Parts: sequence; C-alpha cells; structure tokens
Amino acid sequence: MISNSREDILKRIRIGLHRLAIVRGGNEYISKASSSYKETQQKLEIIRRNMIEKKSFLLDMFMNEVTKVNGNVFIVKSEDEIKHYVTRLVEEHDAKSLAIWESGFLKQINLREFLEIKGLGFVSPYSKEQMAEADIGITEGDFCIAETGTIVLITNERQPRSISLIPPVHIAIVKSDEIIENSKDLFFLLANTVGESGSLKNLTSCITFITGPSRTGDIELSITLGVHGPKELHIIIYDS
Amino acid sequence: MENIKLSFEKDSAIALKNIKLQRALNKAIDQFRNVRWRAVREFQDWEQLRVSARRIKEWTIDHLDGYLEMLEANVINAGGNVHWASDANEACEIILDIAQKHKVKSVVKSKSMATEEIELNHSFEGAGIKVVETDLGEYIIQLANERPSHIIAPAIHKTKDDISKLFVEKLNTPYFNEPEDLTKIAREKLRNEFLNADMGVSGVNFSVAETGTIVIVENEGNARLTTTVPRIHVALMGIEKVIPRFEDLPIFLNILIRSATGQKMSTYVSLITGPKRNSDLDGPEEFHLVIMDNGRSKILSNEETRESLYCIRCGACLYICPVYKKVGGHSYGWVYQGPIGAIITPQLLGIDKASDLPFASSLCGACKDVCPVKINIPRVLLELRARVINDKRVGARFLLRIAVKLWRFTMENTSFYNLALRLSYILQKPWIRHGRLVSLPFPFSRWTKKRDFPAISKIPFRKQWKEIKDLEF
Repeated sequence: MISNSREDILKRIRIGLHRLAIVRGGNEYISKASSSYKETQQKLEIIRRNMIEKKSFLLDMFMNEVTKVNGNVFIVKSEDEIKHYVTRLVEEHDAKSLAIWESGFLKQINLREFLEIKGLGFVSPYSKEQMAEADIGITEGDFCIAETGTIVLITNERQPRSISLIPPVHIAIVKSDEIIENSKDLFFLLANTVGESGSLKNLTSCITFITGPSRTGDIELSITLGVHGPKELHIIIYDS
Repeated sequence: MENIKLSFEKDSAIALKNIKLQRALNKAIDQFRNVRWRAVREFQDWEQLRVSARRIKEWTIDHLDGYLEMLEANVINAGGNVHWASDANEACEIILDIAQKHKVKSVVKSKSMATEEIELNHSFEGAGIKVVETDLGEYIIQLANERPSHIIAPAIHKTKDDISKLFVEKLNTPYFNEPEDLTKIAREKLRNEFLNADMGVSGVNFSVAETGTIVIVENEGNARLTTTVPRIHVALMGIEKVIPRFEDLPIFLNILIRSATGQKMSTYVSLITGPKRNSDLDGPEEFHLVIMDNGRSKILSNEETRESLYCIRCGACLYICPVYKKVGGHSYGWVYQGPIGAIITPQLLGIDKASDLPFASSLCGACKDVCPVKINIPRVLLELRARVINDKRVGARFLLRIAVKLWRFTMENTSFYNLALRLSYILQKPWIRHGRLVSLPFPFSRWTKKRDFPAISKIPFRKQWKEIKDLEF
C-alpha cells in the first residue's frame, strides 16, 4: 500500500493557508534577518573576546550554577591535579571499571594510561552490556554555559554519548576558556562553528547539554537524583 | 478514537469530592507556581523572549509546508528516514510496521504526548510487543493502568503512599515510603528494560528544519537512554513542532524550560541529527521520524483558532488555572489537560465529542498571561463555545441555544429588559436564601445545579448608578 499522506498533509496545509503553491527559498527564507558573513565574524569575535576578558567572572558564575543544580566542581591548575582528583573520585567510589573518551585533551594528558597503571579496567561503549557494568564515565566538555551551569558534549567517533549517561558517576574535564556566558551566544557560536566548515551542514549525530546530575520530581515534586542518568556529576575545570 | 465522548461535567464533579486529589494538587501547584515565578523573573527580557517566540511560531506556521519539506530533506541527508501520517491510525501502523520489519520484541518509550494521543501502547500490546514507559511518572501511570493527569508531571495526582503501595502490588517490592527508595527501585527495573529493548520511541520537543535535528528536553536521562541504547530510534512529532533555524533554539529552550519546570536549563537537552554514524561507537543504527497531522492541519485552516498550534506543551497554563487546580487533569478526559486541553481537545477530537470543555473555564485570562507564546486561550475558548452552540450534533445544548437567543432579545430591547427584571424580582421571592438564589426550578435549575446567583435587587443597577454618580461628581 502506497500512502499519499505526505502530499495530502502538505496540500491540506497549503489550502489551510490559502496558498496555491509551496513557498520555498534559500537562506532568506530560513531567516529574514540573516546577517552577512562580515557581521557574523564580528559577532563571533565579540563572543570569543568576552570569553577571554570576562573569564574569571564567567568561571565564578559557572561554578555557582553547577553547585546549585547539585553538581560538584573542582578547579585545578595542572595536569597532575586533574589526575589527583580523578584518582580521589575513583577511590571514593571504589570503582573497578571505567569508561573514557578517546578525545584530544584526555589523550594528551594520558589519563587512561595513568589509570590503567593503577590497575583499573576500561570498557568500550561499543558493548552496552559492558557499559552497564562501568562504575565511572570520564569525558571532556566541548563548551560550558556560565548562566546555567551547563556542559555541552558533541558526539563523534572519539566522543561516544553513553559514557556520560550509563555509569552512575560522570566526571567531565573542561577548560576554563570554554565557558560562554549564555545559551544565546553558545548557539550562535555552534551555528557558525559546528558541521562541515562551520556551516551546520552534516552535523554529528548528537549534541548533548548536561546540567547537573539526573533528577526527577515525579513523586510529589520532591527532587530525587540519579533516576536514569548519573547520580553524581563532577566537573573538573582546568584553568592553566 | 471514534468512540470517545468526554464528559467534563461528570468527571470534574467526581474529582472535586476526591480529598486526596485535592491535597496533592494544592501542594504541587503552590510549589510550582513559586518556582516558575522565580525562573521567569530572573530572566532579564522575559517579555521580549515571549514576543520573539511568538513571532517565530507565527512565521513558521504560516510557512509550514516549506519548513516540513526542508526538515524532511535534512533528516534524510543525515541518514534518517521520514514517514508522514495523516491520522492516529496511520501513525500507529507506520511505527508498528517498523517494529515488525525488525522483529522487535520489546520497546522502551520516553515521555511523549503525541504517542499518548495516538494510543501507541495499545497498538504495540495488540501486536504482542512489550512496551515500557521509562519516564518515572509515566512508569507509575503505566503500572497503575491510568492516564497521565499533567503533561509535565504525569503522576502529580498520586501521593508517595499510593506509589509505594502500587510498587508493592505490581513489582513485589517491600513497602518504601521515601521518593528516594522508590526512584531507586524504578531505576533498577528500568535499566534491564533499556538493555533488552530493540527499539526506542520518543517524542520531539522541537525539530530544526535547517539541520534536520530533533530536540528532546528532559531531566531524568530516560530519553537519552531511549534514543541511545536500542538499535532503532523512532521519534513521533506533530506537524507544528518544527522551527526554522538552529539559532532559534535558545529562545525556545528558555521559554519552554522556565515555563515547564522553573529551571534555567533542564538536566539534559539532546540535539539528535540522524542515526549513529558509521564511525560512532554507540547510538541507534536506524533513525525514523514520523511527522503526524492528526487534525492539526484542520486547526491551521481556521484563522480564529490557528494560534492553538503555537503551543509548546510547557504546562504553565495548567498550573496557573484555577479550574485545573480544583478538578485536576483527569477531568479533562483526554491527553491534553487544563486550558490548553480545553482548546486543543475539542479541535482534535471534534467539537461534538468534547462539547463541555470550552465551557470548563471562568475566562479569567490567567492562562493567556502565563503562556510563553502568548496564545489567547480565552478568545479561542469563546470561538469554540460559539461553535458548540451552533453545532447541530450537540443536542444537549439545545436549551442553551434558546437561552442565548432569548438573552440577546432581552438585551436589545430596553422596555422588555425592564419588564423582565421587574418580573424576575417578584417571581424570585420563594427561592431566595441569604440573599442568593440557590436552587431554581427547571429550566433555571440547570444553572443553579452547580452555582448560585445573587438575588435580583429591587432597585436596578442603572438607577443605583445614577444616584451614585450624582453623589460623587
């Protein structure tokens, strides 16, 4: 059976709007206020400058907001300190099995090798059964939003999504110069930097915003943490 | 769906006598109103945000056909599949067909009003496929075999004691009375369901035409699990969910989340574009987007009610509504409750099937004031009331139709009006109790059955007014 629903629906919409034909268009159609290349670059420049000039202000705001949504934040000055905090968290939770992103910065500081020498095992997100056994998931953050205490994770082949989702504890290592003031600036930045040549074309399969540990208010509106996602979120901010 | 006939009158009368429900509603609603108020007040340009969101919605719905085509093209480009469903039956068939082709035995679902609307769970169960709701509130509702009573907090009408007893009965767990313990039980039970499921079904909060991205907002993580763990992901959206640009998202995330739960940002926001890529280590192998009409294009075709489609399902009008606060969600009889339910349900199901609902409001306008996309709900309610009165199928409204005509005649003829007033003043005497009319004879009993009426004054208001005016000025 071949259904004509596609055409039927589009036709009903057109008739409903008292139009004879579909209105299509290029970018002007997407946005009446579509700005020029130069304007876009200038705006990006302002956002980036803000991130640097207002860094300590944004850092404070971010840390404050993360705490408000029951996340834990540590600020560290060196790679050794990152390893120190991760080790502490691993010991506190008596973790045996970990999952980790194979992403740039984590590779650079050899975090996985460091933990392997300490006798910890690693599982691959390729197997969901293995992931279900992991005690802690370690990721980076691609961006942070100061106003809401949010970390933004962009999925790709080295940055799988389940590591920040399935283990009961999530450790995210972010850099202090990745903090953006608000979601409006963040989306402007994303819209002009992600996808093929920063054009939003061919986005990766998933972009995830994480603000605090998993929570629910479904039983008498009383806030309970860790219902499906991680019960704990630890954000280590590397401020070199 | 053909057999549905809702009765707000009957259901709300029952709800008003349910003391437990009244207590649950009072507590939840007072708490929520405070939290939401704070989240809105701390945002600098809330009013500007509402205006922007409204404009984008107007623009999008006015160009809906083009944006849906653009969305379709971009989802396909990202490796996803797009299906179009004219009505609920077709949507169920499409989803069931995907499941059967892949020999799916078990399905996990994250919260989606659209899937409630088409009663997808019935279809799955009818085909022998196990389906599990994974949002904690929805899970509770599914165990209790009930319907959600609020679009954001489905189990708002249940106390923790109710839930504890339910878990003891259905899950054979010991009696725990703390939300923390109950949540832990649900987490463990549902983890297994996620690992065993072949297919995940989700709703869509927004879809972005220019990138083919669907956006899901949640706090628990169950939607992330639903869209990550099983090998097939099916998302169901109404045609009105599309927005044009990626850059429009911060506006809609802000108004939705602050209005829905009073948070600045929900715990998780997922921007999903197609299935997992070949090089990705996790995520679903297949992504299907089902775009559903189910009566929405009919709403769009009427300019008086078109704005009903701007709704982003935040639930703010439910919490603010004095009627909802008293009667709860189930009185509205269907998937959408409160003021927005009162305007959407009659339009989606047919005015004859939900003819009570446009009247389930005092027209106080709180819903309009709180609505983040500025839907003029009271105005739409009036339009729908007119339709009910004029609808020949709605037999029970016959008396009302005559009453309205009589009323109009009276109001247009001053001398008749004065006469009617005098007559009423004399005739009312046997029925006055403490200055009010509490139970009048038929046909006026239809009014006094549910409310009283102030006794008609000896001196008409116009005369009183004249005297006051002379005094004051």
